[in-house]
Amino acid sequence: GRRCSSLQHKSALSACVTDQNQVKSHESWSLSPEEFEAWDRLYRIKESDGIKEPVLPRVQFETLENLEETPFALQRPEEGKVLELSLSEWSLWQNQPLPTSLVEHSDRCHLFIRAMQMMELMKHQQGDCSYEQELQPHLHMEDVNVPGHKRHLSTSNPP
Amino acid sequence: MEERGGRAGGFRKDTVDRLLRLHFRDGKTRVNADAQLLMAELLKVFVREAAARAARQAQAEDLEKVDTEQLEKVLPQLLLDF
Repeated sequence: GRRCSSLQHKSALSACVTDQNQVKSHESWSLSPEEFEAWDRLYRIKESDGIKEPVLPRVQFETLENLEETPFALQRPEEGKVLELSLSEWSLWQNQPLPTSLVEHSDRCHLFIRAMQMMELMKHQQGDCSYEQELQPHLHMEDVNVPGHKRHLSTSNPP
Repeated sequence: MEERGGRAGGFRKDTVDRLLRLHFRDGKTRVNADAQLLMAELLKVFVREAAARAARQAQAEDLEKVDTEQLEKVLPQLLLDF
């Protein structure tokens, strides 16, 4: 039988499920004919719905060669037909913990929220950076590796 | 708790196994039945959490319907929690 090589994209899933249903009765991992009918009727996004299909943004490392394994790129859907979910559009909402249901916020989530709070505070700062002023008295030059020329940092370092 | 076909009121074990295998790099990698059930439960929790948080966001905005916008608002913190 035919196989789906990737489930990265919804249409891959639907194509796979459709194949499964048309070719023979479903396998235990896939939707049963009744489930398929319900999915097709209630949840499946069709062209006539006029809704763009939501997709998640893909990982890209600006400073690294991109990993060759990007099956997503191969089946990149047509522009304009999808809605790429944004992780930054609502950044103003992110400087406070949003309500949870069963799963509490993780440590890194709290770190993220605190970083967003800090950015919110610093957004309107002009001139000297308060964070720099707060930390500079604690700088010990022996803790840092200054490559090349010496930077002009006024430190409390002993000579 | 386990219903027909190893279905823990959500994802079927076989479905979870299939989904995981699609992404394993080594074709010899296997998942035992307990881990499949646990993973099915985890996926269910993830889906419910996303739905519940987006619903609360809609509530906070006095909306009766959850749209993509409400999901987008809760998404960064949701993904950091999982």
